[in-house]
Amino acid sequence: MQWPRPHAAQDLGGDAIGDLLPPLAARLPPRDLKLQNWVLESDGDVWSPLKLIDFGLSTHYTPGRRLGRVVGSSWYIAPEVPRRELHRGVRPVVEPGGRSVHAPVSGAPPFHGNDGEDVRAVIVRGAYAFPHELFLDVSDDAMAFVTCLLFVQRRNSGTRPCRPWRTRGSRRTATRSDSGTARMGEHWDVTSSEEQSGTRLSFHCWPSSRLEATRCVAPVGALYTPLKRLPPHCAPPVALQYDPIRCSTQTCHAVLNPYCQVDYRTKLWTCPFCLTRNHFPPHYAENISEVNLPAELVPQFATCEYELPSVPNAGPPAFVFCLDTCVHVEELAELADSIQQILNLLPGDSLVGLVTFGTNVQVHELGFEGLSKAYVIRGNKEYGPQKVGQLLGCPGGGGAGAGAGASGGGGGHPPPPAAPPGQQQPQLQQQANYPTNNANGVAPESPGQQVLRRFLLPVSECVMTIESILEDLRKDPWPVPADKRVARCTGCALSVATSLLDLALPRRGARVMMFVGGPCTSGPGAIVSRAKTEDMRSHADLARNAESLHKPACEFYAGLCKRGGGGGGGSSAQAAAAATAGAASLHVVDIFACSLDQVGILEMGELVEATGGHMVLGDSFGQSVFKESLRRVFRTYEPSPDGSSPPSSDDGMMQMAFGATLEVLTSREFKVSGAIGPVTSLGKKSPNVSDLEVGRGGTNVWSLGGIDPGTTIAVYFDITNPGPPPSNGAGDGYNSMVQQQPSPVKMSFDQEAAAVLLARVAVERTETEDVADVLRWIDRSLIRLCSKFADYVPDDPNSFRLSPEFSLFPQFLFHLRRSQFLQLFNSSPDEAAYYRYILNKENTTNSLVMIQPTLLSYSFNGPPQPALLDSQSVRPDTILLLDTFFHVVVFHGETTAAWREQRYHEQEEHVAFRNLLEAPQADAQMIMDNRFPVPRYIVCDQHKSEARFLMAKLNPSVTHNTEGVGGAQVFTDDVSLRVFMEHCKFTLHFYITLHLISSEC
Amino acid sequence: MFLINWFYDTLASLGLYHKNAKILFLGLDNAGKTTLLHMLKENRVQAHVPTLHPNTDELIVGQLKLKTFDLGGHETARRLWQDYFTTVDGVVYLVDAIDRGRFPEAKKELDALLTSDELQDVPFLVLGNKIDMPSAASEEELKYALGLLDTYGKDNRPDKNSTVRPIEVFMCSVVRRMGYKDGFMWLSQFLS
Repeated sequence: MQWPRPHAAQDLGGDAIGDLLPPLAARLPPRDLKLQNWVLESDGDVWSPLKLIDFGLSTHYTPGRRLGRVVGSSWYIAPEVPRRELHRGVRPVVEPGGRSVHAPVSGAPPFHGNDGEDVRAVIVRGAYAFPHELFLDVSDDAMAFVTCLLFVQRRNSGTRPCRPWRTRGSRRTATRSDSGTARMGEHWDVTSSEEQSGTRLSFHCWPSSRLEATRCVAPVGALYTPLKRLPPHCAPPVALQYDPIRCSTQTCHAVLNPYCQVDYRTKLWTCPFCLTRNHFPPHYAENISEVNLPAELVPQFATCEYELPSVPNAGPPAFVFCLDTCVHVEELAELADSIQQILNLLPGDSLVGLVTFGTNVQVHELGFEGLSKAYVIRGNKEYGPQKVGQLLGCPGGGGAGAGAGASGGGGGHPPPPAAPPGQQQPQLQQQANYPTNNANGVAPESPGQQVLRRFLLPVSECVMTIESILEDLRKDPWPVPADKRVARCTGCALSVATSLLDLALPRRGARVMMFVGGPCTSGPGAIVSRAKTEDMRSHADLARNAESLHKPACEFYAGLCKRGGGGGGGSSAQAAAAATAGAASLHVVDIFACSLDQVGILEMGELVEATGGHMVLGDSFGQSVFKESLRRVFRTYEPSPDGSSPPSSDDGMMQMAFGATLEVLTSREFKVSGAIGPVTSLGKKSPNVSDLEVGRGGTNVWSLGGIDPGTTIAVYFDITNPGPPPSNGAGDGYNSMVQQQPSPVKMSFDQEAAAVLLARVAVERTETEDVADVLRWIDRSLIRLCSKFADYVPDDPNSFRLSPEFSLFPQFLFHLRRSQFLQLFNSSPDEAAYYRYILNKENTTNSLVMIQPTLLSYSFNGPPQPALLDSQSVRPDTILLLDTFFHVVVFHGETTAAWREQRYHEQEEHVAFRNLLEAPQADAQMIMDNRFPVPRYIVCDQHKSEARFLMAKLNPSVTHNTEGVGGAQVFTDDVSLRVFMEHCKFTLHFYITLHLISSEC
Repeated sequence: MFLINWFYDTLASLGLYHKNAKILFLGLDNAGKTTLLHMLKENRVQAHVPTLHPNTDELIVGQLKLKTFDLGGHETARRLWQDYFTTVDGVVYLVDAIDRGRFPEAKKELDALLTSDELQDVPFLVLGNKIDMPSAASEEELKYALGLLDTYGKDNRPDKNSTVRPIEVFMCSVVRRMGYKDGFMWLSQFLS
């Protein structure tokens, strides 16, 4: 048998290694891939096809399944096998391919030892250098090929084709409205800016002065989705691998963008914000011309993504799971099951820690093989990082924050053994990307390194340990008297979990994932006492400030994010330095609350908001609302299945990012009032910061913490021009649009974005004002907006007309007034906090669905039709599909329900009815597939209990008080949209008449 | 002791002092618990989505200051009911009088409440709701279905020495503002 020459195979290229395997291998992977099993089709012809034989140990493989049995010849075994790591995809197959090639080239297998155990140990360590004596006669090309097979993939000891997390990067989006005059009389395509840059503006053509802006009533602002995936023509196809060019003015620091004026002759660009002229760097200046533009100046690329070389690769993220053990046994089993499932979704080298809590906190030592070992920490106190370090037996050697600098990488790995000195050695280390751990050095381990060795381990190393702990997980064993609540120390557990991360990974992205099934009753952060005679806080208690535990609990949880967010390992000086350097919180806190009663989301909300975490509220850990949502946290970017968009560098990466900050620069006519969303002010007082504060104001830089592709921030602007606008009508720059005539302002109104921007302000106001006042403020805003933009003959109330740009705005506000965001009855403080948090985090389209749910009607009369959210849309012979974002409801009219009860859909002649029944369910599934948190799915019949999910949302045009025909009665005394609009017109009539009188006086 | 009681009773009769009582609103889902609570609080009918978390509210009814707990009625939520039994002064149990198919389920849950040790001395007001609908069950039919043929008696005054458990059925329509007032008048006699 002869062997193919290595350079022939190398032509395939390093990335095409998988092509060596027949397509069948993806489903039926050869599990014993070794030298002896590669043969040439025709003996003697080295260029004849290479074939793979011996599938004796193979097994059918479906993606995602785990292969359990360890098989293979030890010389060729993949390191995952002896490590007992999970087999995912065909990855373990590829690397032995490298070893099979190594042997014919050098005459020896790459890893060798005295016996099987010895070989395994060498393979697991993964250390390799080309022994000089074996490679004397081998060409450089051949060595490179073997290296590429052996090591190229080694870098991701997870199994994904590329790094599945974002480690560094920044995105700049420049937005500007077009010149208004050219488009007078046209409708503005308001959604295209969202499609092209992830931005929606309430007005695309901005009012020219502050007075004008005040008269426009609707907030002047933008909704920005930083991680929105953009179509390929709107951003460079790959992230730019260099630092952005910035304006040289220290206070400005703006980034080069397509709206900059460029003088190609003198190689200068003008910053659109401060008008400073900047020189291009030499390598730009050499090549730049009108036809040869760098990516950041291409006009279509309003958004540019940079991968910053100046920011070090922080390494894989860490996940600390905090499990509440004070829940029902079945609930605990469901929860443990979900955690086991997500362990398989994590990239192999992401770090994992496990904390369980009940009366006390248990921190599980995962690096302790053989038996499970946990440290028990009393649950009635708060613990800082140092104290947690001491309690876990990881005392500080060099004082506070000693681990901060050293622990940038995955220190949990064993150091590579001393290999023969050679050229490739440093290269290997670099590729493997694991910094050495001073194991053989003299310096004692810092607490952070000890935590990394014992409590936070790569998932590939500790998956077995965690699974066995989860299987043995027991309910909190402490006895609970009948008149007491269980002792649950959620607050203490959170402080321990964040301390672990502060100690070990102060500079790396990490999530604390809290799974809680009831209220915190003991220790810091308790929201209710253990005695059942005390009741949980209600809206009434909160309004009166009658709840003694509420304030301290809020302060405790807020304090945790400040400690974690600063990332200073407890040192205040360091934390302050980090804050001034614009540090964003890298440690995200997620809350998964599954309980029939409140758990304290209201109190923990600030912590989640400040770190940009996820919040999911469900009834039970067995519900798909919880289970599927949890899985979706770990979603990766998938290449588009239909190939509609080209592959992106994001493919295969997890859809999460850490430590994000947002900086907003404006041209001189505007200032930044503030932002509303999951943001924390970083307190940077730039010249463009307005005195008028909206939401988190007084700054133009915010920390967002963790973000995902849906995270959307609302930014509000203040127009500072006191007088008439400058002569050059259309200014350049960020959001800059100056227009003299009011008409384009009106034409450029985006009522959807405006409704969402206004809703966020309204929700923000409920924190400090009475809800009734907020409702009045909304009414006033609507009246004033109508008085400005409606077509109206002063003496005739019936002449009231709104142009198409405004026609839907009143009904958005009508539904907003009725929504769970502003109506607190039948909604606990936790529910209100939860709904408001999600509203403040989602993009325009989703927020609008929350404010005014969408309704589709299915009937025999044709394809599904969008229906009015009105009780008249309820018909006996139709099926309705309601999407409220949190609930997806399929509602069968009474006749349809009766037919279904008669089982007509099972009969062959009624196939049309079966299709009618199935269509809305399929569409509901499509809605739910792309949403986080996964909505609750309800299938119900008219007049039945769950029909209330629909009936409560409808505009009550037919009620039990009216003698209406058609539609279904809603039992309510609430006013309908028609009555609401009549009131509006009436009030408007008064308002304008009063204005006329006062102006005449 | 007598003097103190006399003093508070006088204040109460002048409307200056309210007796506190903790009331649970229980019943199957869609019986009308939240609608009733909203009616008592705002005197308005409103359509509500099914209750997720318990609603706590404070109402002033006559001389009583009621702290009410409106708990979700769907099957899983009923597990939570027992967490609220401690220090309860009265239970209002609502039954949907037009949903005959669920009377057995309503009876089963009511029986479980009546046999609970913690609720042994607690007065029960059973409200048969939705009698504005022509198809609604009559009081007799509902009593029979719930196994409550012998009740305390609507006109019987509380008697400390009586061993009869205070439980009574009233028919009502929350959306038409009918019937529940008599029920609360009856219940208030037993709240001390």
